[in-house]
Amino acid sequence: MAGPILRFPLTRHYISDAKRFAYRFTIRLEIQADDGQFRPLPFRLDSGSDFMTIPQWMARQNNIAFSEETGLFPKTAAGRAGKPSYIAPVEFSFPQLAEWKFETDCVFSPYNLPYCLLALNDFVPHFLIRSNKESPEFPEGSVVFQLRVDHGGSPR
Amino acid sequence: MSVTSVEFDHLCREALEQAGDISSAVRDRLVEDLRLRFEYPGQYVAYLDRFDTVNKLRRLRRRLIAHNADLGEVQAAILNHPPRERTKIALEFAEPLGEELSTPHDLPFR
Repeated sequence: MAGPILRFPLTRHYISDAKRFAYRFTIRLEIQADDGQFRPLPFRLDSGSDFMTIPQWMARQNNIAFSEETGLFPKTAAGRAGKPSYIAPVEFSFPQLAEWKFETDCVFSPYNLPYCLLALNDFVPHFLIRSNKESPEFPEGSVVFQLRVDHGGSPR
Repeated sequence: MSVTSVEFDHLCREALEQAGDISSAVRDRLVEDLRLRFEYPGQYVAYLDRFDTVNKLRRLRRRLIAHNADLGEVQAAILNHPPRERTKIALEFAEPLGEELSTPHDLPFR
């Protein structure tokens, strides 16, 4: 049986320094903090990231705990990272589907990113995904997430 | 890079020309997105979008909920908003105009 449907606007952003448009998928997710409360954070889909990424400064500001026992030094296009990243599980929720929360592995990055990165790994196991054409509510189209019957979420 | 209002108008015209044949709703959203990046560069912005039909055209009505360089201030505004609308509030970082091109995999860790 089909699950609840979430719709997100698909938008083209103007990249003024390149004088070109690019599709961007920005989304607000809620991450569970140490005190059990869910904090809204800005995310951008990065299909090249293996894991959800939250900058360490943002995690600390929002009391999102992560262990610093074992550091990872990811290889980037600019070379091997000089500062450690840490990987730890986090629980997140979609504001439009607040009755469920999902667990995923998250990389806590030392880089001063102003937003978090959403990876395919975070939602593909839980949702069927498709895109829709333009509609009155979504003039540039939309991305549709439909909760799978066998999703791995737990009640929030 | 700071952008003057004259440069902003030029940028909007340039973007609309690049966009080609677009609907009024898409044009409104494009300009309002540029406006956020012009008025609040480097800040977090929270807003609510709604599309209404005006004179048979779909038009964007964007309501700014909060803007601040401190993410915590904008988060508080979202959490204090009436629950009925809260789920529809967008939260973004307004990248300064001219600094949008990013390749997250080239992170300057070194």
